[in-house]
Amino acid sequence: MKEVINLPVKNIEEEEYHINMGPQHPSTHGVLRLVVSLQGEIVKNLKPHCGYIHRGIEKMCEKNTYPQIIHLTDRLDYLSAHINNHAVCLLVEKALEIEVPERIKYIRTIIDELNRIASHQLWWCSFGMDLGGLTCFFYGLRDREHILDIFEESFGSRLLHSYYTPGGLIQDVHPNFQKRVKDFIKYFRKKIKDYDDILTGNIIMQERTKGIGLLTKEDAISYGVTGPSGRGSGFSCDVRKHHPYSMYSNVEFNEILFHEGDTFARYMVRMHEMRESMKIIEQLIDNIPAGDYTAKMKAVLKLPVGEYFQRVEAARGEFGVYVVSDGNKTPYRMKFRSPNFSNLSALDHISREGKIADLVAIGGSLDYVIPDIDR
Amino acid sequence: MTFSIYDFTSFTQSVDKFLYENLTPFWALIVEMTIIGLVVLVFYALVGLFLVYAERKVCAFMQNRVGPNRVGPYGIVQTIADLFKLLMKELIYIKNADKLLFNIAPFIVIIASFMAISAIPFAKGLHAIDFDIGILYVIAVSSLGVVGVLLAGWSSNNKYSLIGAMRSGAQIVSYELSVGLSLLTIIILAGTMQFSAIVAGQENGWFIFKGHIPALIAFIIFLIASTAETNRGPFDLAEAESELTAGYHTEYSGIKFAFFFLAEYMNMFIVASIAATVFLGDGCRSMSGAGKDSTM
Amino acid sequence: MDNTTLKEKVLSLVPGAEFLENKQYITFIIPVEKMHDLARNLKNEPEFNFDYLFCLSGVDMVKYLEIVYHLESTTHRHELVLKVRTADRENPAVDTVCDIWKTADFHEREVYDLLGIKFNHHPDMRRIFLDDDWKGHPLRKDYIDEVNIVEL
Repeated sequence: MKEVINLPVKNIEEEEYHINMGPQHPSTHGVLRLVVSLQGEIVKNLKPHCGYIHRGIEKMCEKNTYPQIIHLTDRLDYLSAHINNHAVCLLVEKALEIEVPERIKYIRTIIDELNRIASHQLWWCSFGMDLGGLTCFFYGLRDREHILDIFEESFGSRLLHSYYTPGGLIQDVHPNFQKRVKDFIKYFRKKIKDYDDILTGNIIMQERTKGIGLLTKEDAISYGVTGPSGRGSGFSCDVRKHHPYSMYSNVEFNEILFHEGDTFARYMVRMHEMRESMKIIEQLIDNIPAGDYTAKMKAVLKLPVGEYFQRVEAARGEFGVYVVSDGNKTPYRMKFRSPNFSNLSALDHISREGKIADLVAIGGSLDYVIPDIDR
Repeated sequence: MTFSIYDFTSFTQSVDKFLYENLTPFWALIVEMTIIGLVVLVFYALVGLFLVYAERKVCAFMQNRVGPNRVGPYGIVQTIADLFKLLMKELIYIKNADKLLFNIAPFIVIIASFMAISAIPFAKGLHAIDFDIGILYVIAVSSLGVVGVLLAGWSSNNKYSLIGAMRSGAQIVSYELSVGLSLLTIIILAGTMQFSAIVAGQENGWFIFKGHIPALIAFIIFLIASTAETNRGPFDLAEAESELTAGYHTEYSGIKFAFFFLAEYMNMFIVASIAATVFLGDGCRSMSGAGKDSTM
Repeated sequence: MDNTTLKEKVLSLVPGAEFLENKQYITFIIPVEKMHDLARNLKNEPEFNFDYLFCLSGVDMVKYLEIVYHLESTTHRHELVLKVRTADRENPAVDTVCDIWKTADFHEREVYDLLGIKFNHHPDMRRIFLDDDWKGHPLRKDYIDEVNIVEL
């Protein structure tokens, strides 16, 4: 007589299906592991596992002098490297109460905005590629090469420049700098219309991004989502407007705000920001005053005892540096407020009840750079 | 008399007669089938080679780059070099994969497209099979490809492949309805499902012009639905390179991957040739009824 | 609201708070047990409306461990810094604020990972950057690691 074995019957609907959008994946843009719980194609839950590129930068900063720390902040969010360096330089100059010459402020602002354009170009080309439009990748990179050529002529390297230093710049800009930047602005104003033709007006792209990944303004403030991602939800968080530094109080530009909070709004914010950056550069490039390329600084920089905080607007959000100093030439504690870390914490919330394909679009629109998350 | 399409019937019939005269009927049949098999195989390989090269070059020019240009003049030997490379690659066996289904899946996909190619008329008298239910046969046989795709995704024991295979299966099945209905328009117009009769019926005008607006609508629907059938962009979410890396054929390597790859390009050729045969006259020179005049 | 009014209001809410002079922002040291209620008040009261926590850091002053909260209000645009100190280095524990500001979720996990401070009632208190079975908390001043840290 056969035995009847009673196995526990599992309810198929309740079983979770975990998929690993693993550390190696074409669209996570870096080593980030997302463990996604699916029901069919609907995302029910998402857990990011960070730490694959944790290098202990904050611990390393405690052993390095302030000019050496510039080389470490370069490597945080490498796509807006100059802006990160700018934060550390401003902090040291504020603490030591040093006034940098006007020429430095002009040049730093122009280079920051060029860096912002380059970062948004790279974002655009990888966003198009994630949605399946491989052609966008080549167009964006082709135009970004112009900026990288300008950087290479003046600073010597294409990506991680370490050009700013507390007190000014490491060396003066190349004599061709002004002319090349003006030529680039003229060139790119025509090309950005192409970007709109190819991707923004594309019906497939609009169907894939409108109404996807909604982030309300209260959630954006609560999760600390700043930068273009936050401004796409109506959160007015531009540090250049609210806590101006360098030349930002003397130039006219708009803070771009969209209120829908979906992927398309975040996309449009960045497209408009590229144009605003060009506007800022145009106002400054003709008026760079002559002068020294660095203020007089001591050989060894020792910050007075106390705590200092400096906020700047990186390409992806608000970048902050918090230093606790005990009077030595190295900081006692250095903490980086990384914009991508807060942006990533909202990913779980906004991708629920969407599909996997939506997850790729949302991740592209939040535009996170993993080394900044992991530090 | 009008010379509307090339007539190969005399050639094929002479070969047929030659074989049946010199060999016993059994052996003649075997030799005939072998010859046809070889011809179809060579044709398949050549067209596949050409299509892959064309896609790479055209895409490259649209993306502001050059494409293959090292292997051979203008890179024309590139695909042959890729074929040799794929043949020599190690076949990776997954430990937990279902061995039988994993190995069968690429063959099912290739067999389905072979069977469809053999029914396409290339010229009058130059086709391997001439069923009197030709169109129905082609639609039925190309649906067999779905089975291969689903088996590939399931037996790989890989969640990404399964998602890709499910997406592909759902998509192909949904668009088959549109393909079938649009071809039905032409079947009603022609009154027959046999390919050679459809071609013959277009001697005095292509169906797309004879059928006016319904045929035009059917043509557009057929184009869109068959792009979805063959998993080409913008319907390529089964492959979804930026989400699932490679979809249902992630775990395949070497010659099996070459089968999937080749089958995709040949499917494109098949749907294009069906559209040409059924809507655009398959080589009939006359377009608007000039044939009628010269029969005077 | 301007700095003096802010300072007086916070002192009236938490009499035991200690005001630190000569800092970049208004800075208070809050006793550990009063932090959570004060945080909720600061977020919900319309006159304060500190809805944006832009930095949560942990510092290891050798005698005590410190958590620093940098707050800003998006409507009134005033800023405030709160510090919480705990002298317990073996099992430091503080109440979480991630039910008030959702950004604190990841930031508190980072503080736990690198400094060892646990947060009570946190929904997911585990390490974020290092492996789950890592021993020690690297940002502490007494952390020794012969294998991974190269002393120059």
